[in-house]
Amino acid sequence: MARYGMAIDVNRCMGCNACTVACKMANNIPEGVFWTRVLTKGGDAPDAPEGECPVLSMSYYTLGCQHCENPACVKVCPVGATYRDESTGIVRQDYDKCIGCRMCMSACPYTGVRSFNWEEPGTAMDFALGDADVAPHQKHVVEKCTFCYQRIARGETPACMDLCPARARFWGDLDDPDSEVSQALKGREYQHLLPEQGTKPSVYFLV
Amino acid sequence: MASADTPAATAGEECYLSACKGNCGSRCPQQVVVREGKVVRVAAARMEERDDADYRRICVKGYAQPQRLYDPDRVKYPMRRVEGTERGAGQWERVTWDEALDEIAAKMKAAVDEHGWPSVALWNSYASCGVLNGSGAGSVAYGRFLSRTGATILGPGADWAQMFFAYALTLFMGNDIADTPNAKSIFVWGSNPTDAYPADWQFVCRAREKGAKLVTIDPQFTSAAMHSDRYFAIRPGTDGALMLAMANYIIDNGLVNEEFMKARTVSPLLVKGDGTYLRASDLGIAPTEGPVNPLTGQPSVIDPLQVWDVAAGAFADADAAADPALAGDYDAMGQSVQPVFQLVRGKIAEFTVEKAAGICDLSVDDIEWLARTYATEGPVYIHTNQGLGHHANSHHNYKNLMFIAALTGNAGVPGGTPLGHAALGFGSFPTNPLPFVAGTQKSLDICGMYLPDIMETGKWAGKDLPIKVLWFNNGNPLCNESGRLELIEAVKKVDFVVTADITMTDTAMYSDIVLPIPHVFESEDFMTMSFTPYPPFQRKIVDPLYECRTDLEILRDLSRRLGMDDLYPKTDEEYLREIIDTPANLAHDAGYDAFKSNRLVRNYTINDGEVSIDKFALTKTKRLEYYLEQPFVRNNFGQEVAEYERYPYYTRANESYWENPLREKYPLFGLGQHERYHVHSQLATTPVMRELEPEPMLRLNARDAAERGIAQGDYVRAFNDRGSVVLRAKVSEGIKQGVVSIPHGWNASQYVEGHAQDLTNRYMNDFCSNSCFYDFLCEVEKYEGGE
Repeated sequence: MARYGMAIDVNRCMGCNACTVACKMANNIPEGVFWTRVLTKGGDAPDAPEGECPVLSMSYYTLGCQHCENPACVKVCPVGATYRDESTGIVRQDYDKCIGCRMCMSACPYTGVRSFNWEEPGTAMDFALGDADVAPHQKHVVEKCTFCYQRIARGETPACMDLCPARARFWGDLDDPDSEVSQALKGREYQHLLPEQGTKPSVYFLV
Repeated sequence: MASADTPAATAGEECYLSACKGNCGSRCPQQVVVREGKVVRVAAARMEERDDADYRRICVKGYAQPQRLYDPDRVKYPMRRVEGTERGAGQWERVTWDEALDEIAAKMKAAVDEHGWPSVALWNSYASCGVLNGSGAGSVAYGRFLSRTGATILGPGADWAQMFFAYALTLFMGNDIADTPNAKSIFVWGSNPTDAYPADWQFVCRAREKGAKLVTIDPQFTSAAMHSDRYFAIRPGTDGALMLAMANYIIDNGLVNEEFMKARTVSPLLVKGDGTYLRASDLGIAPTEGPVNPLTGQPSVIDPLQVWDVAAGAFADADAAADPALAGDYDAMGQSVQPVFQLVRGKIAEFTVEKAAGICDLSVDDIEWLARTYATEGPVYIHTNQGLGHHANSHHNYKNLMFIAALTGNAGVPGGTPLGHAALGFGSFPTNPLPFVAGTQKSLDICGMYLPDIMETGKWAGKDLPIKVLWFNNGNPLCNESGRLELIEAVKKVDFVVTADITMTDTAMYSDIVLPIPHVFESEDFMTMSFTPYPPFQRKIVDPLYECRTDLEILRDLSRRLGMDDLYPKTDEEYLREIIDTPANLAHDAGYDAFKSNRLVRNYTINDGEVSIDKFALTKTKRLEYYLEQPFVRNNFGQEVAEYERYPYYTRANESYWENPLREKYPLFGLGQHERYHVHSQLATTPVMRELEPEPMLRLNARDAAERGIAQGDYVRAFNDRGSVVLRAKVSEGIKQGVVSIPHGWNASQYVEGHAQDLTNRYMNDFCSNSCFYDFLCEVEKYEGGE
């Protein structure tokens, strides 16, 4: 049993999108879809600060599925396609069960972490990049970050965690006090996104 | 042979080591995973434990390499411009290699028969430094060809302000990026460690977590600025004035580190009326013979530099004086001499804090704070990476930076350097360069940015230079150099133009023949320089797609058609062995076989656990040099060297300056950016990069946008008398008012109209011949045409 989670140090994150592309490549994610992406807190456009030059402020938050302990998506799925895997704490999506009703997308308070494949998912290449054991992407289902379940099953870390250039991302079992993520959280102030929603995310932002 | 012990590959996959060859220069070692004959993903290679935390690295550009390899935009076959169409029209026909090479050989022969080999010019840039296929004279492919024929070399103009100062004039390399955590303050000044060099950023983070202060000086608000304690939006092209004002404040407020000045810098050296240093021989003391110089076989001459020793009240050898004077005028057997510091102090006195505040558009308080922080909160690591080098006045910045470092002791110490930059700490991996040479011809080697002058006059430095054949390799100057429209016109005047590249670049577009070359994962090569301790061995992981051939294969074939059957007598592997397998390398288990065995081989010349600190060992005076005794020009065509090239100095930029009357018409200062999703024009069409950033965006200050009726995401036209470009506007306060920034590295076809470099200027100062990408003015208006 484990409860996997991640911590992202906002004081280190430079919004470089290495995690975004690592995820995209490892999971052969279709064009137009991102399982994790970088959001700018600041002005009204990506990488735009708030304030008036030179008195400016800005920060970056990487956003994917929060793998909540109390997931809103699971409660609304009528067919059990969205479920929390009790052995890992990971919120999973069973493409074969998914009926494409998109209830999970409306229930999830974290905008854009789930996406629906309206068309046959396509990529720029005519063969599959990424891990051999990624579940094939399917039309008319909802998909999202899996915490790279295929990699965890092999004892590896998710692709976005393999190497953050800023060394701002920390991964591991939240129940194991010696894990990298537990160590990173120790003594640090952190935020959850939208704590008022009561979702209890497994993703922590160190601030 | 795939390595079995790596976690990167799963059953049915093979994992190989290679390196990203994106032209940021970092050459990060990668694990490359192959499945069913195709590269499916990459990961940062794991390093030895002692290096992993510092040097294991990857970024968006590295992760995207499988898509660059299989980029639909790759050149697949030799292509010939359709007869009767104009260069640049984009009409191509597929030809065979034989047809292409026969035509090239015939054109070269005709040019050589009539005008000699200098009429054939190879224009290269920085895209590869592979020992087999890389740029210029430093590879088997081009080096042997050039040394046999004497063909002309046209080199880049980009980045020559910083490089010329560091690598030619002073041989001062600065402290490696891994030294950053030793700093108490970090000034990010002329660099973008969060977007252009993401591998550098973690070192800055470590320093900050130990309490270091972070300061960013930049007209554009980068992610580094976002994380900074203080951010200063300086006016572009005025950094040199800020440096001199800081120097004056430091001097006037008693913040000078005199001990450091006297012992470790050129400050006490005495200068004669002709600008050269006073030596013992000037005082009638005959030079003595030193150890034999192994290069010349002649004894070296010892003629010590002189200072005035206050303690003795007499001249003394610089390294022997008890208390060298920093001020005063002295009589050296009838010659008046004075210390460098006194001379320089007089030269820069006019740049007061108040004066610089006006030039730089910063407040007096800002400049005083910067000067005090720099002088009193050291060691200060100035992170700078060519960004101070893109104006016509730029090369002075580096003398000025050395001067403030000399005043304060922020150089040659852990955490303190005026030239903090990745990789500079690492020397090249030692190899045998003899295979690069196949003859005794000396090529004219000049900056390609002079091509318009050469085509106009048919001359270089007063001598005939009729360039008839132009061969572009390892670069894309018609996309990436400044003054593009003028360069294109010059290229059009050349009889015959060839480009070898992996994609159909803007430069390839203006060629007669385009030759497809392989991606880094498709051919074997070796690079001696790296920003990590592991020299990148580039293995052939998959077969080249389509009909691609390496530069060396192309030149091998071409040389036979030119009657030089013996130019490349060995195989690629034999050359690599000759280059890498020196007795010393083999003794350290760092020969070809070691690299080929699919493990990372460490550069054994790098000391374990020791961060490289430049303590001025390579400078002529063995001191920090902010004064140049004998300045020389990069490309000599008979120009004079001005007296001010010797000392710290500020003069306005060429076009981009506040008082320029042209600002009535074109009020906005232009800049470029090296953003995250390109390395110059590499990755311009790579699908995942374009998903993240679908099109070029012009950065425009929100107040400037409002004045012009421009809203977020509108298409806008930026223009000046040279040219224009149409692209979307990114409106934000993250750029100084009055400044716009146009991203670097997009193809012409990716703009609605025009090109970023159509606005820029070919003008270069003729001291260091650097491309002045940021030295232009323009106006921006809402674009009413098209969609």
